[in-house]
Amino acid sequence: MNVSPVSRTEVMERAVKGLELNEVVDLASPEGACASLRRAASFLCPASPRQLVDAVLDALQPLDTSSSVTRDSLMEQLDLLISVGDLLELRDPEERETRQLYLGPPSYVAKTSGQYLLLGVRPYAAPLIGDALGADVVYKGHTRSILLDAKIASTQLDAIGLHEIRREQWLKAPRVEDSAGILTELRQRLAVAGPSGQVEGLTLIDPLRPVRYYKGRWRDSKADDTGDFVARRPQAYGADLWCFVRVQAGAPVALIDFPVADLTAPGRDEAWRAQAALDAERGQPQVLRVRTGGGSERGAMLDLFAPVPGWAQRYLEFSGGPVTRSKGSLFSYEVPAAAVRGLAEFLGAMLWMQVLEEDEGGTA
Amino acid sequence: VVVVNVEKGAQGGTAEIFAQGGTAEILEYFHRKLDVHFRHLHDARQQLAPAAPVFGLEHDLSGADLELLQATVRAAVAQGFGPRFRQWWLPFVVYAAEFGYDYVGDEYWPPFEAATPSWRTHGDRYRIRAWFSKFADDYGGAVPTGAFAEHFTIISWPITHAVLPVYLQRQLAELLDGFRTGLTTDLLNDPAALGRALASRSVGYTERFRIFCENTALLGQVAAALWTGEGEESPYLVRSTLERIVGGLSSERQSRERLTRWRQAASRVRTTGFRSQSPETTSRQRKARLPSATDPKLFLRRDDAGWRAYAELPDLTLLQGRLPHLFDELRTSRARIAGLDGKLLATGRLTYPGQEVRFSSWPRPEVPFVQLDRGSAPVNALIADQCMISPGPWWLFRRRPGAPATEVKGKFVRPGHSYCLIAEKGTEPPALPWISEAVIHVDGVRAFELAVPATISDDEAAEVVAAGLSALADVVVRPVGLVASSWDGEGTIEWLAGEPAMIAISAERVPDKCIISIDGLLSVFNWPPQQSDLFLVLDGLAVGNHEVTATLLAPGGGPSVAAGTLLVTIRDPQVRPASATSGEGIRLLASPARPTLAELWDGRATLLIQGPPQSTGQLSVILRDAAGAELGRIRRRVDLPMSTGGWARFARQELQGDGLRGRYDEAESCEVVVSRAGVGFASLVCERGFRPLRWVIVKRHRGGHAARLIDRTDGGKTLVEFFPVESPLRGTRCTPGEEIEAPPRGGLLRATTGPLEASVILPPDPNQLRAMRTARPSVQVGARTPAEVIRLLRGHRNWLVADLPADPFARYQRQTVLNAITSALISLIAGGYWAKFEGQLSDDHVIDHLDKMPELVGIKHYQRILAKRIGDCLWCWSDSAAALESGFAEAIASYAAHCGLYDSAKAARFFLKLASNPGELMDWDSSDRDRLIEHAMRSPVLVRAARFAVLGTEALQSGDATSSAAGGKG
Repeated sequence: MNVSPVSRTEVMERAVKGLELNEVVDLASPEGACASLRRAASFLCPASPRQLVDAVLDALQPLDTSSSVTRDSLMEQLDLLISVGDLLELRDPEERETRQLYLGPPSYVAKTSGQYLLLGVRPYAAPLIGDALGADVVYKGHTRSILLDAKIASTQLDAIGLHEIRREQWLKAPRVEDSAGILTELRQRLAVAGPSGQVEGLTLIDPLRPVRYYKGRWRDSKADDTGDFVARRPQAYGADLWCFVRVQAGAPVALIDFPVADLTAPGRDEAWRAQAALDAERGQPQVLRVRTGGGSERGAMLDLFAPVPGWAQRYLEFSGGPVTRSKGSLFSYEVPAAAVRGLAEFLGAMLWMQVLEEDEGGTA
Repeated sequence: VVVVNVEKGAQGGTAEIFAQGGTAEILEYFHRKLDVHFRHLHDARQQLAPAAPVFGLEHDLSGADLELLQATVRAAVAQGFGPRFRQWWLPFVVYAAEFGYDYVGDEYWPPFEAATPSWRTHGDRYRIRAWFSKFADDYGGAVPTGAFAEHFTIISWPITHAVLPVYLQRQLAELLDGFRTGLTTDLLNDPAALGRALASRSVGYTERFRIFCENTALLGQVAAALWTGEGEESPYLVRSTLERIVGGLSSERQSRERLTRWRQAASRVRTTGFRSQSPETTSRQRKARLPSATDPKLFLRRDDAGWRAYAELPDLTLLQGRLPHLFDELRTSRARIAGLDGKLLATGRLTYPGQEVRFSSWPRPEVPFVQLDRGSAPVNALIADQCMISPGPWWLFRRRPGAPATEVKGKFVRPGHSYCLIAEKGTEPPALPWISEAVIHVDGVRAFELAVPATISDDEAAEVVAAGLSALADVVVRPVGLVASSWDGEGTIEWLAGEPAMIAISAERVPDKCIISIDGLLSVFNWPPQQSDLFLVLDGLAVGNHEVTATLLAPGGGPSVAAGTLLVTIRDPQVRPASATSGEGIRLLASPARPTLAELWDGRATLLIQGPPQSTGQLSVILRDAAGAELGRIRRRVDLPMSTGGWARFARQELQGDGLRGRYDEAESCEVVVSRAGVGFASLVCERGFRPLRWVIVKRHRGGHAARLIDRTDGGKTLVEFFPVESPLRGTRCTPGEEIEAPPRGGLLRATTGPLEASVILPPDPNQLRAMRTARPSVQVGARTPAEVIRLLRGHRNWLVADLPADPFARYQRQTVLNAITSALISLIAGGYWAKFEGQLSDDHVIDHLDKMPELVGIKHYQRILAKRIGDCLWCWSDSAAALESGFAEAIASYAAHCGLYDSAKAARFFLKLASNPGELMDWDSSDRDRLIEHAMRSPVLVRAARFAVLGTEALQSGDATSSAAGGKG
């Protein structure tokens, strides 16, 4: 047994190595934070998002002199891990009202021939790939991928217990609907829902606040609130419950919980689509900014200002890859130029997004 | 003839040498050569501490030499195996060990006989055993140990001397790979400890591999030898044998990679000197017991009504290395958890860690937290010692938003934190303004909420300490960098072995030095200037429990300014079970755990599938033969989650369906897989089991069946009996080794040798059965004595545990026999009126007699009250076996106490079992069972009451109880 003092930097380097990350990755980077979140999940799940974030904060905060690792930033990364399928938000079989996080099964999706997105988390911090395949895992933001010989890749990945998810299945999205249709159905459900009574801890998205500042749209209900809102309420021991709530004079009168359509999907997927529909209905659709001509040699940069449902997130992962977010956006992706039109059409049809194109800082 | 150049002889023409009468001479040559070699090895192995054994496979002969030796042994056997050959016995040991190496886990002797002409005529198995025994005496040869050696007294020798048969090599590679992060220099230098550590992780492997792992010494030596680098010598195996095993492992890509990783890990551990002091040594020096990885994790949740207390059950299979039969008992036992008011966990459920239980009363620290119902004394003693809650009278829980309150085992509070304090009744908390009483729904304790202010005065700290708690303010010791596998947020941490253990020590006031004590060993460090944190790496902490204390010293050699403690558990790296963990979206739980193929097929095992509510998944059942080839498969979409009842319905419909039924009898294993893409994946393999005795049912082309016994017991003393359906307790002797034709009505075949037994239901011939008149099984009953009751219980059990072939008529015939024996048993004990009633039941529907049964329970006032109460509750109790058991226990409680049966729950289980599945009582503790039988015979009213409850609930469930008069409740 040996006890030795080490510097803060050395602790971080050892932690990066312990997480089996590339040694140039910073522990406080999105890649490092996601690896820590996956590791915490591997021990703690089923758990609430708060438990995972707290566990990572406990381990990183003594090292984080720049305060770059915050509860909010970890929560954002956790949302992305849920969107791609590394973690699942499911209802607790015993306490059916409670939604907890579970480990996504070790899986892969063929992104292109020879390039595979890696998904899921093994329990007990076991590496998803390890050194069994002789190829390095590429960490980019919250995503992991690996390059393998396409002829033998599925055999290799199957042999180490990864299950293939077919591309169509992974990218499966709800049917295309207009925003009014979505809202009509939800309002019909609200109309037949019983009285909600007082709802503890309810916070809602203010539809009047700018769609380009998602965090700033959240607030408590006010006495002059009347209308239908996307809202959420905290649970003592689970993920926040997302809901569609009818408010009169600041008081909730009817409420339906998400998810409504797919009970194995996180509630926020349907909630975010409902909010996109509300914004579109008001004539203030959510925004997709496409930047071309600058920074990247081959592709375009996409900036999003509001979170998108998991199926839209997966479409983005499939088309491109996450990059450091641009100023003011919630997250950014780099995609090949050829994929931009398809993506814009998809997000326009599914989430009624308005596309803003910019070229080197100028709006086209 | 003197064979000078054996190599040349082997290549040139061995037949010529044998023809010249050289067989004995060649044997002598090899014997002398082997004698020198093995003697040399023996001397070298004796120098090791502890001494290591020699294996027959370590003959170190070249390929040509080995071929000649084998040919010579065959020639010797063919020439009569006479004394002139037998005096040179070492070649025979090598020959038998070589067969052990190629052994595939099925039968040893048939391929041996096939490859050794005239062995059946001249050979002698006992002589082989005697030679191996002599090899152990003369050359320090390995001696087989474990259950395998007990059951297979002859073939265990050559198989042990084969070191690692080919068919087990792949699993060994997997086991080593999973353990590599747990390696330490200590383990590499102590093969016995390494073997124990590896054996404790073998529970998820096939039964045959687990049997191999029972010989922990051999396992450890092979594992230690395998980390030797290429071209290096191992002190435990000669190079040629090691290379042979490595070559076998390397023939499969995945195993080769696993072996490579194992060697790399071992090399890293060797070069970094990953050595640690033994935790056992230091733990003896400490008075207080430190938390263990096998302790339950207590936690609290609060809802609108108040606090509720829970425990997460630990992974007790970690203790497997200490008692080899631990897993078997965990697998087949129900468990009693303290604080659950006598409720038992389902059979085998303790092998699935991470389950939550909710306390109705607070567990008492002096009472074992977990005990196996009818578990052996050593196993229960081990569990009691290794699975404990912390001592009272206080239990402190840290509250954090969005998470359950987790126990702070160090029982210290920090400024600014919130806690819930649980106190034994009669214990008063410190009188402080920030402590207030709260509601808790657990008997025996009170709850207090603590909102510790940001600063605590000295007086307040003194109050806290006076109550037996601690208050810490000036120093924080916590893990840093990597999220630990468990951390209570205060002072108790768990890391996985092999991972970097890093801590941060934070001080309110910057000290001059820090003294670190780990299990009593001191190190002193200068505090980094201008820093509030000191970071330390603890390398090489051994698996076990440790206490780390940090004492901060003021500048100028002043007194210590603060001290903080961290309780550390280092645990073996865990491996995901194929059935998945509690943190995954889909999980499969079996009861008993790891059931055999037969248990799964005939309904003795149940499955529970956990999954997202109101979703669906794919459920596949795949039958495989001994080589793993698929024989049949069904795939169905099922609703998730699936209850045990849902599984029972699925099994009834699908396992007996056309897709699988025809392949069951030839199957060696079955895999159950449940999955949903993107949500989860869990599987369970049920093996036929490595049984010394096994029946094989053969279907005749002309109709009807026959049975053949596979006897691997070596001994030749097997007794085979046949019990016809018509008289199910009267057996007739059969000749072992002969195929036995099934009579038209079928019956039970039972083979026994010593403590081993195997039985199977012989199916009837439905065509002939249809043409015969209905005949009820005739159960002959003797005098009303406890001995006669035991005889009937044993008879019932023999039919109950017999394997069922995939034949619905066999199932029906067995149920008919079980019903008849149960009815006869109840008639014997319950008295004349009830016996007469049992006779009527065989012809009528039970539902038609529901009104009559209460008056048959008894005519005295209290008996009528008891019967009425049972009658009133039948509907409620028909929901589940658990409802019946707990309800019946409550109903009989006062009368049972009047009879001296103060544990009404146990009495209820006994009487319900007697009235439904009496054969299962043979597995009870015999003193308990015999005492309750005497009670039953003295006061049969409880027997009648139990029979009424069993028949009544089943009648209400089915509407027609005739066909299931002694079904599965209880």
